[in-house]
Amino acid sequence: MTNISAVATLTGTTTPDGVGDWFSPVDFLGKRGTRLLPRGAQLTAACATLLPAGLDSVPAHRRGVWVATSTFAEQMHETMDDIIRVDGSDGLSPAQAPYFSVNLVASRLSKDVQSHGMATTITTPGTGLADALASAQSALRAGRVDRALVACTEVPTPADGDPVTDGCVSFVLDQDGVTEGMQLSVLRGFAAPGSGTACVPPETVQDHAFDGEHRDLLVFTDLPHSDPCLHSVLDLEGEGIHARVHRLGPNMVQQGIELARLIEQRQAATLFTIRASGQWARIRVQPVTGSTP
Amino acid sequence: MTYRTPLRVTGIGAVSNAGHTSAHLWDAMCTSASSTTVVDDKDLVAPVLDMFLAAPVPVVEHSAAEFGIAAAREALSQAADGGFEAEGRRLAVVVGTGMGEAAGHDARRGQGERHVSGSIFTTAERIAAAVGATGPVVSISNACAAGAYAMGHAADLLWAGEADAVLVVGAEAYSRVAVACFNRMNALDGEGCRPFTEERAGTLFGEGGGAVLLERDSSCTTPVAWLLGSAFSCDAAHLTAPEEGAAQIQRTFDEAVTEAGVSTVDAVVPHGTGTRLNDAVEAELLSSRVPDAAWFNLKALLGHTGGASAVLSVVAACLIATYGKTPGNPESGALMPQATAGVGLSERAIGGVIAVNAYAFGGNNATLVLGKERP
Repeated sequence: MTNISAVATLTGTTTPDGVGDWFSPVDFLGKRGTRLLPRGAQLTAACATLLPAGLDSVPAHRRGVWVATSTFAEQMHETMDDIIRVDGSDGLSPAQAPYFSVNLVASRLSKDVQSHGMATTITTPGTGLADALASAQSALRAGRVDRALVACTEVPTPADGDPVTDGCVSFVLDQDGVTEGMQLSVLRGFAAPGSGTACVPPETVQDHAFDGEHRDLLVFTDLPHSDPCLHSVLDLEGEGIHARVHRLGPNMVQQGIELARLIEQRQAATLFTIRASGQWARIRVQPVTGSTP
Repeated sequence: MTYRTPLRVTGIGAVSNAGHTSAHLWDAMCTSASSTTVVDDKDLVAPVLDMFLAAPVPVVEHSAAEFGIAAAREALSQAADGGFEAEGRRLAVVVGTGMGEAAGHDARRGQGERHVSGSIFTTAERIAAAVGATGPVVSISNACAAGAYAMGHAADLLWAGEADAVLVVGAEAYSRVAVACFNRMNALDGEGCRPFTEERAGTLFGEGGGAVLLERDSSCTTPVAWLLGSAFSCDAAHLTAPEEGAAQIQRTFDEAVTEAGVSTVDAVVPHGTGTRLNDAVEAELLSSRVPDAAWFNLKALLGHTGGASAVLSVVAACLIATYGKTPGNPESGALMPQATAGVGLSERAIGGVIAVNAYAFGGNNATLVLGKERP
């Protein structure tokens, strides 16, 4: 059994002109080296400071880090490419040049929390948070690590004139022997558009991995509201559900915010993500009871 | 960890500077045939613009997804010849790529587009759609070790029963941003990619795609090879340089070999990038841990294919296992003392256990152990 034992949320919205930026990295990380870090690395590192103590109760080589992001790279690359096309490679900051590679966010986080286990960067658009949680879960089950820190961070490229929501949500996962927190279950699959297969296999969704009721259903999708796939998922989840459908964009942090809220409220719920490109993922959480094996 | 059983590699595929199949790759490994090209990008001014571009291949454009699809189709075709049937089985796709479809975003920005929309990491879903995947489809971006991390996640998926077969793909294409940033870090060598030589001065990028079909239970009785062990770690130290003392790299290698349950490693496809620090650390590791093993420097032949490199190394390891020999290494100059025993210039008959190392800056370390036979 995989358990989410702690969450931390650090998100906000900034106006298009940048005035009133909600995030001050120095407040969390101090001055030394902080200002040169890309914003995604600042957010992820700062979010980790909000987690309760305890990550280090397992040895450093038995801790693992997962970072899910689908917008940090684009934002960073655009900033860099604007410089490259004008000034060539010599115009780049040598301190920031390594961050063209999105995996450095997880590496920086691993350094901050002194994690010598695997540091995995997941970049699947839309379902990356579910992938990161599932990857951490399977690594815990396989005995690769004993504790996992999963962070979802986004720094979207601003669309002209629109305010930008960015931030990070972090989760701590453990395996076995837990008597509190929230039990986690993740299922994933793929159905290519037009392939003729069910967008989400009924037999997969109708499993009963958890006892009890899952009356709260959150769906994140970029499918049209009238799409039969969307309705089939709502139908499959059963009668009497309380469903809310959110528009799925490239920014996964909204999924993280909703999941963290449910966990903090100790509320059993299902979060479904369905992409028009074919990926789907189902995250379920429910409170751990003391008798759960 | 009792259920971490060996997994079958039932198909391989490769697109690279050497050509568009794994047979082309083996031919190039045996003849040391490769070539670099100066990339033609009007928007990039940088000291080093040489690359091992993918050889003319039957793909629409130079994109990671196109390379990955071509390699994936070869792997699936080979597996089908061995008895693999996709029908009714959950086929997952796990892709390792550092830059995904960044080339497309580069091009659009070069044409004046601002705030290019859409993720660059659509490589996995494009490959998944092309091969008819039904299981999880995951994009992993651990830079130069992305393909190895994809292999690890694929193994975890199979052990957890989340998939019946996993197509692991590493794919990378030219990226202006990546080449510019490596230039800024003085990490490229205009003289070539010269792993483990005294004069090495950096790496050179390459393009390509590698693919491996991995299965736990299969009707294929004669797999190409077995994945026997895998281990991963993070230095949690310097952002770009390997950790002093290389404790995590050593632990990773030892754990993978222990999991494999083998008494010796006969050959190694090292990470071997040609950078000063990586090669120093890795040569020390290999000369002390497996002093009798034969090394094959794949990057001297294909360049550093980033997120594709580890899967291409696995494909090379499978070919070495199949043919029972390491080809002679491309001649790149005087070798470091720690590498002279391992890096042979003529072919060498070997046993059936081959290790693959993959490292990335940010201190991401991986070792995979493959075997011709199950121990």
